[in-house]
Amino acid sequence: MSRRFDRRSFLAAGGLMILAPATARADDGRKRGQDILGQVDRVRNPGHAFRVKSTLVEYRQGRPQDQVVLDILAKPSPSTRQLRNLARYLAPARDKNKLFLMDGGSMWFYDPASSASVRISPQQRLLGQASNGDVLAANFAQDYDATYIADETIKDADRNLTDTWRLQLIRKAPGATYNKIDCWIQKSTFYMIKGRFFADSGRELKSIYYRDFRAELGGMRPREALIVDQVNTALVTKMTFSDYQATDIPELWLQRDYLPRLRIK
Amino acid sequence: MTALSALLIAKTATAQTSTPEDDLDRLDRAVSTARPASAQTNPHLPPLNLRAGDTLDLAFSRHSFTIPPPVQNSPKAINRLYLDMRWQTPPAGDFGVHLSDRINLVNTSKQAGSTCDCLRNDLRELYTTWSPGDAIFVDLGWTNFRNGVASAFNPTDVFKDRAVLDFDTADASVLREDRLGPLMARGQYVFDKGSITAAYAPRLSDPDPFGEPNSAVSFRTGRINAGERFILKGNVRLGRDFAPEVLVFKTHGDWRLGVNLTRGLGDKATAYVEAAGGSRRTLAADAIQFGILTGALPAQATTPVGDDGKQVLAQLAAGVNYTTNANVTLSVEYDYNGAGLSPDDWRAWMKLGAAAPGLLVRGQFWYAREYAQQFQEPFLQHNIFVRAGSDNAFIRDLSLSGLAIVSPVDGSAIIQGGLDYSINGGYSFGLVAFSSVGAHDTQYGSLPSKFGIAFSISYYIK
Repeated sequence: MSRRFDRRSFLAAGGLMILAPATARADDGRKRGQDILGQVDRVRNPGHAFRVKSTLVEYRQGRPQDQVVLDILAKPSPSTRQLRNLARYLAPARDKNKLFLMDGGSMWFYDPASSASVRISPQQRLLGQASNGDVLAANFAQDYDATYIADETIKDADRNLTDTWRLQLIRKAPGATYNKIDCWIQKSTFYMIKGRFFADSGRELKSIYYRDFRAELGGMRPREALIVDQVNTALVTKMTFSDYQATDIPELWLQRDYLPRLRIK
Repeated sequence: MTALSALLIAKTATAQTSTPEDDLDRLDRAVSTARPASAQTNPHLPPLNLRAGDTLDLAFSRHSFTIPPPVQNSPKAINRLYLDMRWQTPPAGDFGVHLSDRINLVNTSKQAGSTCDCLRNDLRELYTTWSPGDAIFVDLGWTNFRNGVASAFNPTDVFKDRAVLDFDTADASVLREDRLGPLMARGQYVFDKGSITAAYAPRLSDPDPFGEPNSAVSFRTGRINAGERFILKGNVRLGRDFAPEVLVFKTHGDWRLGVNLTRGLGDKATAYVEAAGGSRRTLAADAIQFGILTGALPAQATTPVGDDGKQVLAQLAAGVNYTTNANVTLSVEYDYNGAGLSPDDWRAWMKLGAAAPGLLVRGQFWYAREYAQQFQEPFLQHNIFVRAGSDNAFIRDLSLSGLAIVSPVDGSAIIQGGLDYSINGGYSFGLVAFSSVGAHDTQYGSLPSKFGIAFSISYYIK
């Protein structure tokens, strides 16, 4: 028994010695990934409440279809720092004044026609091929666990070769839209220039390229996101972000029962 | 479900893995060469939404029945030309006014019976809001106050009684968009983690009988304010995804308790439960009492099956919504109406009706069914609701939906399919077809309408 125990102990110790550097590397990868992602979030979102207009145009076989325009208000949660969003349709005419609210834990859709708020899932798409989560602002570091994977040189949306860090994000918060995201971060700027987004099943849903970074609200923010649909390959969606404004958003506005009361100026 | 499977297969058949170079080629072809669309939109929306449209409903009757309905009309056609408006005062000050109205020009085929060929105004909402603070609201007027998280059957929706005028779809979520709000006073306090709401709708009139004339200008108090109703409800967030809503309400002279609860199940699914219960009569007994009160049934009428007295009865709707990667949303809901007919009661009523031609029991049967529809409660105790819908199905702005309301007891069903196509968010074309299937003595196989189809066109005036 003693001899067998010794052999086990020896094997276990040997295994630990082999695994230890790998575990340490994994820990380093996670720490580095999370650090990079924190910087990325600071580029993507200001640290305070803000408002932005988002215009979505879907291109089918290269031809632009009708557009959806949203007035988006986003505010970080004081406790979790996750961004909570309130989006109002400005166009098309049949949808105007419809609202949806994402408060981290849940997503609600309000239609003035039925005077009712309906619970929806983050994956449910109200905006063509773009998920609700693509349009709304999110703090990735709060929603996902990041791991640094490798240094890679890739082409950005304008086909320029760019040195990047490749990160893998795995859903941490239950309300996060995607199970997994592979993303590429431009080293010189911390811009997220590309992401590949995956469903729970592991299937790739879409790739998104971010470009046209400009100074907005005290930082450099993307003005365009180009969504290449991997489920229906005939589709590309362009999201344009404009009219960034720092604004005050009362906590009450982020209550689902307040949606029928909302009167945004 | 076969059609749904075909839809899912067809939608996923287009999927294939693409390389980064493929993606960039697609971006080049799609975006770089296309002219950018105009994004000129004023965030300060005009406070008026206007829509003009026309709907044509055709219904084809069943010809053989175990209990024949009192009047058979085949085929039936109703055309409604309408102007629909929603308006609210621009955001400013403590007071606001909300209006939601539809003016209809209704034309009915002569075989359809008593519906008028006339101008009809449907006042859905007209109320003022006073907000003495950021979080306190007081509403007064005709208000469409809807309750409940379920899709097909809402046991906690105290103001649904006779609120729908045109049952041109089996989809309850669509019916809710065009219903009348009763005259009420409502107060609401919203706080960071929830809200408390109270509302009172007085009884202003004796109830109108079914099939009352629809005059052009009418507040329809005999329809929507024919009974006193009160509700007090509150919800509070107790956890990240746990915010139950508890309700106490009074309707039909009885107090009831209710609850609404939703929960996210991952990124694709949500689950919900809506339940209510309290001391009340059965649906059939309520219907007979209503018939006596409105003079439609003789004073000596009694319920042919079940109990006329009050008892503690529960109602429940529980379901799951699931969205696929291809953006098809599937809903499955089980509905239990403790006040509805049990399978034994149903069979007993069928047997009585079949054996007693010309007697009161047949009239009562159809009257109770009409009552169940008008008061939006399932006639039998058990139902299963299944719905599949997809926006932007195959082509942009084409919405497809299919639903079935199935009786798990006898296998009969209402099956409905619909499509809606919108052009630039302005014009919209719709088609809805339904059929009731099952043997003559089943819940849905016994309905007067065997098949129906509705065409619609509308234009959102910008």
